[in-house]
Amino acid sequence: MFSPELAQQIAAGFAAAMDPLMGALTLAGILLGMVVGILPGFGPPAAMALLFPLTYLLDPLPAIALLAGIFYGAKYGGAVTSILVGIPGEPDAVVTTFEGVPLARAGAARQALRVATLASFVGGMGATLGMVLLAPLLSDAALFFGPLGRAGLLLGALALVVFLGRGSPAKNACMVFLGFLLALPGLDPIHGAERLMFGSWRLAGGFDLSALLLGIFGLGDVLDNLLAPPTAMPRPERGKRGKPDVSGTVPPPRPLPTLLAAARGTVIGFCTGLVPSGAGVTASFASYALERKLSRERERFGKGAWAGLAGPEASNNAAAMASFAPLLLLGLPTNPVTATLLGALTVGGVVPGPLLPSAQPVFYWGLVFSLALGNALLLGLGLGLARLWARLAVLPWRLVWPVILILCLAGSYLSAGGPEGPAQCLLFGVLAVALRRRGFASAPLVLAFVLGPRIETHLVQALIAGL
Amino acid sequence: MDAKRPPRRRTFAPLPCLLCAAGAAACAHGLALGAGSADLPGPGLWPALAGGGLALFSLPLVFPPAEGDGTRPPRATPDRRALIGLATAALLWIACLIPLGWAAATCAAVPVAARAAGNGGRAALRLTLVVLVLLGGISALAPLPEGLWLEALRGAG
Repeated sequence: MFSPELAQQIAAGFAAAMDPLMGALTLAGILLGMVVGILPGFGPPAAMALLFPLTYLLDPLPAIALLAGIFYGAKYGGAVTSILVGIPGEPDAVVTTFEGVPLARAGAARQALRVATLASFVGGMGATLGMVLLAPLLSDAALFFGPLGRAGLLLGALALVVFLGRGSPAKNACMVFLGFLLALPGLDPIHGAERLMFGSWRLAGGFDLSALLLGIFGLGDVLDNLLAPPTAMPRPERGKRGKPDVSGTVPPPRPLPTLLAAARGTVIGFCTGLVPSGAGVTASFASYALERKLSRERERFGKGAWAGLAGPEASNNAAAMASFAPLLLLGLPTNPVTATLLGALTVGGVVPGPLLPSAQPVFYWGLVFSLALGNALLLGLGLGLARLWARLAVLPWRLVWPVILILCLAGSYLSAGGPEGPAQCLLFGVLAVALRRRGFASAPLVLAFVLGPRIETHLVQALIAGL
Repeated sequence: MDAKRPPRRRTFAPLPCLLCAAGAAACAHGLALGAGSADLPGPGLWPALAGGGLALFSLPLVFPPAEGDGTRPPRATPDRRALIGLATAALLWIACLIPLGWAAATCAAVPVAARAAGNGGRAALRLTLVVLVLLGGISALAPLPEGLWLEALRGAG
């Protein structure tokens, strides 16, 4: 219930979020996120891993605000390339091309960007509000869990990733167990026994999370693109793909139906964002299907329907925001990005879980307000810098990958604190490519790598306590 | 209906085989460490479970059913020059980092990668400068190694 104490906590969180350093870092995160969302071959997990060493230098709240900014900034960045050049920078933005490209071809690119920005804003703000309202319910529910329940919850989340994630369940299950295995080297958390260290002290701390993320999502993506046939290379080319013919003009967006589409997208995105592996792609496809079904002008879909653009855009941003709720209140990352954030929370000494809002209220409410602030900044940057984003979207790949390569190596060095970081980064890059080319997805591996030690600890605690 | 079905052809997949072997090895390592009992689990319980799970789930993937008529789809032609450039640049950067420092390592590695990516000499130079500026900024926040030679020079001074 709302109490004076809660009001004080909310006010303290608001003051923390309005700190100039927080604002600057949130802005920097969003700008970087927009850039990585637009550029091919460098996704948000890799960008977050690159900045991961900053979490050792900054306080937890500014560090998480910076990393979170990358996440939702990239969601918007993906929409820009989808609309302007027909290439989704992010998988969630695939649906945006369905209506974004025809709209851009009909000369409504600027308006389409504006609608996408506003829809993202609606989705982000709606999901942040939903997260605040849902927090007490999730916290109360989570308090019922003992060690066995917590282990069961995390294993259940991984089971959902296995069955709902991309690729075959058998291959996803393999990746989950491989993730557990990669998290094994080092000292075991209960007995302190050496495991899979092969006599090397460099493996005492296990494999480095940043090196793993930079290898899989940074270097791995670069290698993937170099191994792909030239036609699949992410080189944006205008007017050479078989896009639908758009004859005639596109009617301007009607505010109320477009807003309603964004609101429906927000609800879908929020619900799917709470489910492991459900965020983003699922939300945007579900929202598009719903808008198509509800529309009175179904024939306009695929030719430039505003509702088909606004709904999915709102839904993928809402899903991104909603995935913060299970992370903060249950300690449950639902995708590789929130897995990175969990690592950053651990470094900062923040214990995510049902007690977080009451135990560390300034952090919790500060982050909630920083998410809201970030959405407002995203709105301004999206509307104001559309032309710059458009230019960035056509940057040639040959200029991008040498920079990504060195940044990945440098980031992994900083995070691991030695040359074993870049070596691990290379190793994981090659491993990721080998696995992906045989149909194994990377997301289950990363989630299991992060969750494995927690599951083990809860499981052993439960066994010692006699279940 | 009476026609006998031809036996389903199966192929061999080396990667799941490697995963299966890794899982079995981890399981054996876990059991050697000691899995303990139900009320007092040992340090080897989790490695045994994780390794066993990996071996179990990857085993059926070792011999997947062959797809289509057995003819392989045409392979994509990888950009060999770029791949060799990437590997050389990465190894060069790692090798030079500690003895020569991040700036020299970057000056050595980026032109190699940039040229292999298909850029001209000027673009390679510009890219090197861009990466130097980026890493300089990063190094100001979290220091990268400056090189053993610089430390030796300081020591001598």
